[in-house]
Order: sequence, then structure tokens, then C-alpha cells
Amino acid sequence: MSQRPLGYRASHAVGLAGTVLAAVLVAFVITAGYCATELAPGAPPFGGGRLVATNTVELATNVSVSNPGVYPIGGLVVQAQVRYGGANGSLIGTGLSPSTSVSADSSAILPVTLGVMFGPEMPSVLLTHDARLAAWFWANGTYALVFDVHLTLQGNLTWGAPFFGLAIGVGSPRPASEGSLAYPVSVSFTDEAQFPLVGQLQYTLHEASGTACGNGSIAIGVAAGGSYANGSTSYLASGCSLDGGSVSARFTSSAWLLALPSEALP
Amino acid sequence: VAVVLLLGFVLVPAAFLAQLRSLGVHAPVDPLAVAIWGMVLVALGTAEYLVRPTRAYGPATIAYALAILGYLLWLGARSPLSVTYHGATLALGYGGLLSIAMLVPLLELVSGILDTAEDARRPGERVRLDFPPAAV
Repeated sequence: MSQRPLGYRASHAVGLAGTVLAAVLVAFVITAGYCATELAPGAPPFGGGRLVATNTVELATNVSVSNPGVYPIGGLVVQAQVRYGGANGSLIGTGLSPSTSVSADSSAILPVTLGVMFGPEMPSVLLTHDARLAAWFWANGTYALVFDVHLTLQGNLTWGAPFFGLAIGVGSPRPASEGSLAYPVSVSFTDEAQFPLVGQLQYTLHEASGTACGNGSIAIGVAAGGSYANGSTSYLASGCSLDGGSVSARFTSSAWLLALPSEALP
Repeated sequence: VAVVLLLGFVLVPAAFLAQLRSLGVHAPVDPLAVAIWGMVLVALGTAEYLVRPTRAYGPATIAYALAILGYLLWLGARSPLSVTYHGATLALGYGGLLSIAMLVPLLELVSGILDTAEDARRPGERVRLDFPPAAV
């Protein structure tokens, strides 16, 4: 049998290597596609509100990823963004998970924390009204070592207002010392947020012209989900009239400085 | 050979794209362009097979390998594959896979160059070895 020249043998070996590689790649793509259909992500709603800085709370959720297939997921990161008023609305909070890898035939939990800052961008209506906020989630990672995956999901976040249904009522005046009038003031609300409120509610009573003519303060201490109802007395100088007036309030403590929406007095 | 190539380069991709369309997913590759690329590759692959007993085999292998490279580069330019389904958007970057897949036509290219060079140095020898005359 004649010996095949080296060039032809090399050509044959290289061609064979290409054919084998092509077969391996086809098998890889088919199995990777099948295994990808077995992936099962899941995320419970955000919860566990925790005060982390002045006017800033952190909500958390654990995104679970089950990967029963034979290919790993690397560098998986989940980002979240919550807005009020749609895609171009006010940014309420942003969140990020640590980078996590999910080995083949295993599952992993990604803790995603959403920082919500009660700053100037926060619409004050969200302090006293519940809402369904638009939420966006992005997941980035590498599947089966070679596929870059970028998943975008839109969902909703149920927002519980910390001062839900805030009502500051002013009762009938009674005469007080030096010609001033004492007005009974009542405050009620429900803390529907996922964090407690401890601090002082400072309110100011205004005449119809906007001139401040009385103020007061009430200690607040209410657990998440709890209701609050209490009262105090405010003294107005003689000549002040609250007809058509309004009341403004702010909540303060070492951790909070919140300006609450102004309310008209009946 | 032509049937296998037709399956791999035309029919399976067409079925895959049709399946995506039936799911409401619009792939960023034009099915007609995929079909045209597929037909070109089927023609070149079949030609390579047919001219194997001739000196045109090496150049045909080179042409086929270059066409596959072009096809992969064309597909790579359309990465990532972005699909929107039920409010979720999935972008799948397959550049890494294509980088590895390009090794296949590159190996074919080397093989074709080697065959072309050897065929030039030893006219007819490969044909004698690969297609020996039948014993009488």
C-alpha cells in the first residue's frame, strides 16, 4: 500500500478535525437550547423594609434560579428600577443583586435590594396614597459559557404609603389664655409601608391667605401595617381664622425629614 | 450530500424561523436572506463533492470554506438575537459561539489550501489514491 504524501495526510486530518468540531457544535447547540427551556426563575414580591440611611429604606427580594441542565450560568446579575408615572416618570428606587454563578444541575438565590429614597424626586402623593408602580428588571449573564443573555421584564410593585389616608382634623375652638383660641387637632393614618414610623409630626395651620397662625407637634410611633390616631391642641393668636385655611405637616426624626402634602381645612 | 446540505442550510433554518414566527417572535434575520445564503452554500458544498476527483477540489473547498465564513460573519453582525415575548425581551448574544464555529470553515480553508498545493505539486496523485482504478 502506497504511503499518502504528508500534505494530503495533513489536509485529511485538518478536514476531519473540522467535521468533528462541526458535529460537536451542533450537538452543543441542540443540548444548550433544550437545557435553556428547563431554566426556572422566580421572584417573590419585595418586602422586609429596612431603614438604611436618612430618608432611605431598602426593600429586598430573593430571585431564585433553578438550572437543572448541564450548562452553567455565569456572572448573573439582576438589576431593578421602579418609577412612578410610567417609563419616563419619577425614579423611585433602584436595585442590584451581587454577581452570582449557577452551576449545572443546581439552583441559586440572588438577593436583590431596592433602595428607595424619599427625596425631592419622590412624589409626595406616594406618602399618603397606595399605588401600583411600574418596575423593570434586567438580568444579565452568560449561559453555557458562550451565550450572552440579557433579559428584560416589566412588572409592577405594589406601593404601600407610610401615611396612607393621612387626615389632620381641626375641631371647634375654645377660648384660651390671653385672648388666644385653643383648637383640638386630630391626626390619623395607617402605615401601609413595610417599615415602622417613629418620630414627630409637626404641623402648621394656615389661614386662607397662607399666613401661618398656629402650629403643634405630635409624637408618632407606629409599626409597619399599624394604624395611628391621636390628637393635640394648637393655640391660635386672636384674629387668626382657619376658614378656608390649610394645614401642612412634616415628619421628622433622626432618620426622617418628610414634607407631607398640604391639606385644606374644612 | 446535496440533501444533507439542503436540510442543514435551508430547511432546518427555515423551519426554525417559521416556528419562531408562529410563536409571535420576529427574528432579526430575513428568512429570504437565510434561504439565499443556504442555497449558495448547498450549491458550493455539492460542487465541492462533485469535483473531488479533479484538481478543482482544493479551490472548491476554499470557496466553500470562505462562503461559510461569510455566512457566519453575516449572522454575527446580527447578534444579539432579540426577541420580545409576552412583555419580556430576551437578547441572546451568540458571538462567542460563532467565534468557535468559525474554526470549522477555517480548518476547511487550511485543508483546501493544502489540497490545492499538493495537487499542484503532484498532479493526479490524490485522485489515484482516493479513487483507485477498480481491479479487473
